[in-house]
Amino acid sequence: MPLPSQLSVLERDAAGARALLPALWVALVALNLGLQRAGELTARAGAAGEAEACEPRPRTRHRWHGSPLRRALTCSLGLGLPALAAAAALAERGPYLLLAGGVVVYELATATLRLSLLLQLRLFAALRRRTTAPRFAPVAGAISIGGQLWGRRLLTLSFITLCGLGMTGSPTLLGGSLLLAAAGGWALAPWRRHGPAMGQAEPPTAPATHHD
Amino acid sequence: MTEAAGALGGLLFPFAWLAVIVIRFAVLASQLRGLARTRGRLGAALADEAGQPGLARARGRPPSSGFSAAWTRLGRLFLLRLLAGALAILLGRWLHVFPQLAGGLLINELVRLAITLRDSRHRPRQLSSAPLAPVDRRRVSLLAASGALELASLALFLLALAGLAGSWPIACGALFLGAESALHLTLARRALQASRTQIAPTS
Repeated sequence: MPLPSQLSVLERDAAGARALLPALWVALVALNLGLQRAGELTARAGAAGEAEACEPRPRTRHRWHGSPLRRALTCSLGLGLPALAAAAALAERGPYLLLAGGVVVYELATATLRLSLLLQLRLFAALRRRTTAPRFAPVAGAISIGGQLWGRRLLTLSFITLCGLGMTGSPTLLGGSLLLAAAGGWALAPWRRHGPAMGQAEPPTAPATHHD
Repeated sequence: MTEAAGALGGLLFPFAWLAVIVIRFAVLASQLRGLARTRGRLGAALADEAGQPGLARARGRPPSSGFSAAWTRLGRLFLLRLLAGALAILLGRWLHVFPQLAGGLLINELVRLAITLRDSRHRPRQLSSAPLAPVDRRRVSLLAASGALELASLALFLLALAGLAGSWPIACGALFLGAESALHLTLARRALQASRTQIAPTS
């Protein structure tokens, strides 16, 4: 069983981690933007307006304007660049892995989420074209990165990363779990403050998961 | 020291797995109980509205036929998972990969628990208002297919985490999750194909 003393080649080799992690982060940011764009296009083609209509953002003091794509880019760069700069400034291996590895895990998790949502959207859209399949508004709503479903899914991924941390003791997973929890909490914060009172915090149907 | 800690971790994994599986099925059972209660109330209210005294007498009591089948299915799934897990652990002991397989089972069950807890707040209330029509069965199949796709993407995520942290138990968990997702997807596809033949497509 791998223990903190038996970490991966990447984590043992500090020079390898320094070279590989930023490159991996750039690749994952590009992948995320592509997936976000594909998800938006699918949601728009499947049901015009549903993506926005099912999860209206509650009024907050700091409204964040712009398209979901721009929000995704701002989020990735705003989180990743300072973390990578701080990691580069640190000479020690542990904090470097915590910060640089953390943003890589965060991008990996959001790419997973977007891929999952894209696949679900395509499934619902394909079936809807042929028959009277149910609306896929909840999935379309989760495409919006400030959405409630997005926040809840991020927290789930943070929990999964935390379980991985418990098994491996890896600083990379610790950083990723913390960042995911912070991002999930941030996405849910407006809903906690305003959502229930407005009566529109919940999407019209259940999130798209139903198996045993 | 490291070997002793590894052996202890390997011994603890099956017990942790057992605890997680019991917690998950307890959550599922509580959801089902809530759903049965809501359905019972809904059925009684509808009967009152329709002026059917025979049905109205059932006020407050959950309809038994549909839910007894659901309870049986839940119990069967629980036993099936226990059996499959026990077999995997025995196989791991035989092949000398016990900590990896037991850890994989644990992380797989933890992922399933996380998804169950995430969805537990929404499901009963929303399913309770859905009519029990053929369309409903197709809806459930669709949601199952959608959930299987989510499991597949989570398996990919776990595999990437295993690569980053260099952990075999997480990689085994990803494989288990991937296999489960493929099974769910196959079953959902079959159910969808069966339901599609019952419902005519719209123009």
